[in-house]
Amino acid sequence: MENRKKLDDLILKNKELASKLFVIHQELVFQNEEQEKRAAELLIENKELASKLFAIHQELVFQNEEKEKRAAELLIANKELVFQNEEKAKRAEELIIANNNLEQFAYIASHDLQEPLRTISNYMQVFEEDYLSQLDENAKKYLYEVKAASNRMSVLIKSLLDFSRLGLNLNLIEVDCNQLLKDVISDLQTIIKTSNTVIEVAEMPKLNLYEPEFRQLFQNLIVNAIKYQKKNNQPKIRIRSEKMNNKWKFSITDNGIGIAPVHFKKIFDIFQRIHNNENIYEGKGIGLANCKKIVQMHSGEIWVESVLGKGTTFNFTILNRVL
Amino acid sequence: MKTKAMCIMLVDDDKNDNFFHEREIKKNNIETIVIVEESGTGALKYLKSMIDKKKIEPALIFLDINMPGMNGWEFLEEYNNLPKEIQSKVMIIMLTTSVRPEDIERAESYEFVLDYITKPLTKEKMKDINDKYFK
Repeated sequence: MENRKKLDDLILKNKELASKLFVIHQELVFQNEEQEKRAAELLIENKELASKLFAIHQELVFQNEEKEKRAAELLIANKELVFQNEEKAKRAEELIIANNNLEQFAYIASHDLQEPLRTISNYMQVFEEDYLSQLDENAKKYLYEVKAASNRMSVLIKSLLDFSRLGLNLNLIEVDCNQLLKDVISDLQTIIKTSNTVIEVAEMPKLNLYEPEFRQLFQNLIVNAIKYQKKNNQPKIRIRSEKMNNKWKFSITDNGIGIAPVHFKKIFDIFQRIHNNENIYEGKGIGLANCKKIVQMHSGEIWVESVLGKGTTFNFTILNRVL
Repeated sequence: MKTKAMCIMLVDDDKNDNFFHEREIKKNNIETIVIVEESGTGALKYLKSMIDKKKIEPALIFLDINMPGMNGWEFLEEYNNLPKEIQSKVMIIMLTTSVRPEDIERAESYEFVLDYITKPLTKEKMKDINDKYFK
């Protein structure tokens, strides 16, 4: 009996244990399934991550290739620029040489032309001195015309010579334009007084300039303003300056006869005179060509505004170069 | 009033200029003696033999720059080497077509070059020279 009870107890305990074990087993199975699920999820996530990484990698490779391509393109563009720059420098040098040759040519031509012309003028004078008394009125008139023509030619040649020499031996210095204009006006006292001209000069800057050339520029423009004037009209001239970025603009305004718009460009060309009546407005036709050349030396521009019969304004710009 | 008669030498290869300049010089004083040398070498030869051979001594030389053979500058260099005895008797004035500032400056660098005038020499220019240097 005793044994039987013991056996029953054992069986019972065994059953309990078995059921506990089953529960544990169930639990383990469940956990296992869960872990497998998780593993599968992780696998998917892992794959996604890998594919993302791959895409990023691909993108980086592509970007890198693009950058290398771009760098190579830049390198070519850079070489091209260097080449173009060299070409420009070469071209500039050629232009300087051509320009020098041209100036040299103009100088030699005008210098050598003077020699035979002087001989003509001299013999005209000798002829006049020795034979004038033997000539009739017609012969005297012809002689006079030959003389007048050779004088005109002499003036033209001298102007050409001056024009070709303009800009040789340039020397940049700091100039107080107030003082420069005072000097120019004082040099022109005679013509200013006889014509009763009034000149009003505004505040002027200090600039680095080719001084003698710049002085000639102002002198030419002031003389023009006085010369091209209606009869019995008091010449009034206003000179002003204005800063424009890295340049300075100057303007000279007069109340003279004015210039027709068709002549606005032509007047700056050499030997172009727009007044065919030399007796009234005597000019050599080179003053404004000189002005243009001087302004160009200062990397500027010159232009004219005018109303016929009312007056003229000459404007020009000047680059303030660094000394 | 006439200026004192003197001797002037023209050194210039241009015959026409020499003819004209002599005329102009003589307008001031008809008695002026004008010696014409058409080359620098000829002028130097004259100056070197002037004292020994008792030739007329020019007080003034008008010197052209642009001449074939020896030009005016080369003449001045040679002249500089002449005995001081000769140099002391003569004065030089440049008479040229050139208006180049370089030429004017170069002429001024020679102490025995008195002046620099441009062609043609005229009666008026000659009078100015007389008034300035020979009074």
